Amino acid sequence: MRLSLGRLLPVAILSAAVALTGCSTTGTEDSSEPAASSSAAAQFPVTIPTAFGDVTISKQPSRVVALGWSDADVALSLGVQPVGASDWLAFGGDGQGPWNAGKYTTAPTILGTLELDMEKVAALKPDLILDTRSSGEKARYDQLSKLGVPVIEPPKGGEMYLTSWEQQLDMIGKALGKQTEAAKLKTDLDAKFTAAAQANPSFNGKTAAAVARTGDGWGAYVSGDGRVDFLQKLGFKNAPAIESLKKDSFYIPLSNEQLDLANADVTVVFLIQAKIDQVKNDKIFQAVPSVKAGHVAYMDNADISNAFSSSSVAGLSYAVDKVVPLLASALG
Amino acid sequence: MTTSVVTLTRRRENARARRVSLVLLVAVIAMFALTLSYGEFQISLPDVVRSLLGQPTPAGVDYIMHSLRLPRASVATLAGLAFGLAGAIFQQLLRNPLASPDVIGVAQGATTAAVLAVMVGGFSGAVVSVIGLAGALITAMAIYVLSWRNGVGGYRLILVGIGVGTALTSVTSFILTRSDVKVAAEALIWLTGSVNGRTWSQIVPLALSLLILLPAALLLGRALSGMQLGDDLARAFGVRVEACRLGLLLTGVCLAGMATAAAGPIAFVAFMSGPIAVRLVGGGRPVLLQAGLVGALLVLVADFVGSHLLGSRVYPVGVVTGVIGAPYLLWLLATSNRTGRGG
Amino acid sequence: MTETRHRRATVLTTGLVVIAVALAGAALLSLAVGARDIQFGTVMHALFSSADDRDSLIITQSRIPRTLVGLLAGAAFGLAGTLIQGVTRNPLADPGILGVNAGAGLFVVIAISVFGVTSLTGYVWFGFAGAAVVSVLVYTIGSIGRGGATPIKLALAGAAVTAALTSFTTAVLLNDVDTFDQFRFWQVGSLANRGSDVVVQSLPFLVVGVLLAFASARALNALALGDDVATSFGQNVLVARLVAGLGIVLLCGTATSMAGPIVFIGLMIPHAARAITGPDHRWMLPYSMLLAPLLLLLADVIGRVIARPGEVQVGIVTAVLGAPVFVILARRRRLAEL
Repeated sequence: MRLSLGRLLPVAILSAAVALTGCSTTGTEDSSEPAASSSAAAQFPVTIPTAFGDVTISKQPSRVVALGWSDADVALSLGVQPVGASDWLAFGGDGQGPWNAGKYTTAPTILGTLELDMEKVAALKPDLILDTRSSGEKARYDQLSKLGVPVIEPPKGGEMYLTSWEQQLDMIGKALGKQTEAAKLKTDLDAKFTAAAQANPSFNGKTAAAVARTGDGWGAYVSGDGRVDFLQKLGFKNAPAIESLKKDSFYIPLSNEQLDLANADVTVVFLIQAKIDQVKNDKIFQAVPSVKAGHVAYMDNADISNAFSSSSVAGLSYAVDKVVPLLASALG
Repeated sequence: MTTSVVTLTRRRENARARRVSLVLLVAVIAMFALTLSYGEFQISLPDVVRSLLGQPTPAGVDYIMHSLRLPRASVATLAGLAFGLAGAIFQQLLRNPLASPDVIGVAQGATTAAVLAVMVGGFSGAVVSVIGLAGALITAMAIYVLSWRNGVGGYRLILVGIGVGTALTSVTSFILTRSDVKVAAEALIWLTGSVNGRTWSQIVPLALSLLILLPAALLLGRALSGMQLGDDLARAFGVRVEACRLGLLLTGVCLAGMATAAAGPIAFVAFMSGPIAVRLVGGGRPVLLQAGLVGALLVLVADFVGSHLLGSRVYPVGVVTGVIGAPYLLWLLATSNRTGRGG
Repeated sequence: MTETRHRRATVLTTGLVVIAVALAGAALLSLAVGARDIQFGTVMHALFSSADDRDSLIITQSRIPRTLVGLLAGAAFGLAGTLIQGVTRNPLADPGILGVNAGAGLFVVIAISVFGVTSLTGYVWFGFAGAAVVSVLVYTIGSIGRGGATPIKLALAGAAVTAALTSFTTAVLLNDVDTFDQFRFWQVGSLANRGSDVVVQSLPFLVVGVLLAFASARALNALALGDDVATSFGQNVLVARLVAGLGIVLLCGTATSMAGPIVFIGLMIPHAARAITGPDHRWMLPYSMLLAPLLLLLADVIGRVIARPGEVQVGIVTAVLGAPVFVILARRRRLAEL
């Protein structure tokens, strides 16, 4: 599925990048677009497959508008500052989380998320529109493509915000002429996961239950959801009782009478529109064996929650740094 | 020849109704022009006209005019017209100001069908609009059939409609709770009604259907005065009650369905246009054309406010229609010197 | 004549008792059945002793509060619905029509969005305040102008205010997806995850509301004949509407705060009650008061078992179950031509 596509392309790009670094000048520093042109020039024109067909970008873009979920985040990680960005996680300010703090030297124009003011977008005179993680609706694509510049929509299968972080990184890396940097970020994050798993052998093979307390009640995540995949990369297995409930959604709502499904070697609690007091005062939840024994990790820090939600390469890297110690102490 | 008082009064009321229609029409045209011209990218009115006529214009004008503003203004006007008409038809036919298509289940039929199409079926764009219209028609048929018992009494139709409508709303709410919040938020925008980003493929069907439905509504609407007296009296006056009722209902449903398919169920336009029109024209008589024009004006003004006057965010039109129309209706209610009969 | 009236009274009283027994049964069912199978013996044990094993905790922490909320909110919605249909003389009126729901909803959204309140016990009181403020507003506006608060003006004013407030609410929700994420669940109407403190705090308001409702019974019978006829019978129309209106606000406002806007019950149950009792409010009110929680609890139980290990919220089940029943009622020959 998306895993195989995601893993194959970076390998191909990595080999190409290795071949290219042989004949390019010194690697580019972070944020200057013109300096990148020597190796970047060889990367254009580039063709990127999307759900709406192949998109060809003929030269290095200089005015990028990043509309998709975490598209601006990834662009910043690659050293490119968009002139317009959407703030999906409602960070405010320049629309970025702490892992990208200070990367903007010129603040972008913050644009809408679901409802776009096309006049504002047009006024920015973009030459590239990134929309790699979005609903993928044709109406949105039609609206954007009328501007006459390349529009990078989600890849096939990535509609409804399902684009993986690997796919997003790869597509944006290609579109911005930063394929080397993108490949490096990917290997770095993969290495980080591996290193964390190795540094914590106690994680290996243990079961983890990823549950969420929402405004409505309780729910649990199954494999395919970013949070469970995150835990699995650290060596955990998803709790079998929960995994067996998997049907066609990544999230299973749970009645509060079924909370013993949250029992596992470690229970990880995500708070979505709920306060930690609610969970700590919930007698039924506190009676779950793993919670009672203290093998529970509460993800009540807003930055950590946002890092998970961002599903960007930099956000996930931040999450690994912050969450691994919490998991380690929960396992005891 | 002496002219009786009745004739004089009727002539005066007709004149007033015509005056109101004229004023409303002028207002609609003015708002339309304003929508085309105003924005972060100002287009002077002469340039607006030049662009419409296909003559050469400064750079960027054509893109903004033809891709953004003209579709937006058109769908706003046409949908507002359709909703206003549909609302007035239902309210006056069923003799209850609360009985507008957004209450008695027709709009909910369109909405639930569209939400199912988007969230469960994964469709988008024009397909959703078609499915929405189908939903409206099927729901209307179901309501009609369920309330048929030797004819369709006004109250029974309304009650059945409300029952069906409420059930459908719950289905929609259920779907909203079961999906990812981003998907649900997108559905929320659609559910509120938006004229943002509409394409001509969505607008042209609406325009064409209005060409048929508007005259039909006005013609059939002539029978409404008779039907206001009650079924038996109306029959005594030669009004073919059942046929007219069916015809008007069908027209109203199609109007609401087509408008919903193009712009989503723009909240409260159908409900508010009728009462506002009635109070503008006075006389307690059916006011279909005026209600349509009020609807168009309401949507145009609401969209203008939502796009330009509420800070940096763009709000969908359905959010603003309630906020604008309601105070106006309340003011009319409070200052009316009639005893509030007839809605 | 007295014979018939006596016989009728006996029949209706018997009916009331039957329904009360059914309600008790439903309450028991609500305690015994849920998303998790628990032995009946355990249920009884949990009720009468303070065990704290997991199953008993479920009974005491989850099922008892939700049964209580179902009983109280249901009764409140049923009464409020009968009152509002009597006051507005409009069979389409549900308790939300005075803007109660829209007011509660807006204030709840403000509580979540602006004040960051995320627990139900926190925003319950916002909801109630919103319901009260808006109803007063609607009533005041509907009373301005000639004729005072006639049914049509009240209904129109309420619907208009609802329109405006719903728009405000949607505007806030579109800006703040996190708040929307909470609100979309509250909006459906649910009995789950309510604590007993919500019940205790709501009780005084509900009691007063019930008293006001029953005090209005005679007045509503008179109002049904039309304002002029009622006045000629010596009924003070203004006071009658005020008292009933206050009852509606207290009942509907509290119930909406507890369970979310489940107003379909308020719309439907009065028609069901009238189908049994006829238009006499002195009978309609007690019947509504018992029939509504019966429906609500049964709907909640059904919602608990059809989507294991999750649940379907009671607001949805009520509407889906209630709609066919409502349609059947609406088709009856003798219709509610208030």
